[in-house]
Amino acid sequence: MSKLTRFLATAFVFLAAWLATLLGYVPVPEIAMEFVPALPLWIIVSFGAYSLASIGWSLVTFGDCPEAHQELLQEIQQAKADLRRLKVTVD
Amino acid sequence: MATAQDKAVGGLFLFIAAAVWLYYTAWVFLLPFVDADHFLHALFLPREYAILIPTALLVVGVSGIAGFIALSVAKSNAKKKAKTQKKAN
Repeated sequence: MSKLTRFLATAFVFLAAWLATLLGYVPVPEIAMEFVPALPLWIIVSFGAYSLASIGWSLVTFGDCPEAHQELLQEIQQAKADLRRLKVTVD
Repeated sequence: MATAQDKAVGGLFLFIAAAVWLYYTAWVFLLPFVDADHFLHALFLPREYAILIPTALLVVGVSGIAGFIALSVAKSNAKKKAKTQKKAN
């Protein structure tokens, strides 16, 4: 089973549980109905915030290496030359 | 050495992400349990906006991505067409 299928299956289970709660098939305390409708949106917003934070964190803690940078640029030039020789359109 | 600018941008991202998450979590989960006449409610918009704003942003975001994909496909098709026409001439 691929990761996508597994993710979709989990998402479907959560969605079904949330829908059941929303439509009243699951007994919950009255106050819970204040935020149950917003739960999926909250999950999406939290995921977005987590993604942004992880990008920011990587930016802050990333240690780049100038020699590897130069080496990589040279390798890119070589690869482009090779590909052009083989008649592949490169940018 | 991630440049100082990179670190600044990263720090800004972290701050925005944390602020947005804290505000939204408080909005959705904390406010229902706070009495209606507490001053805290003045810091938050009416709760319908807790649904409206993320949904609107999602719609705009997904449309933007779809538009970008459509544009890239159209550009690559135009390039392919131009190439086959050049070969035919």
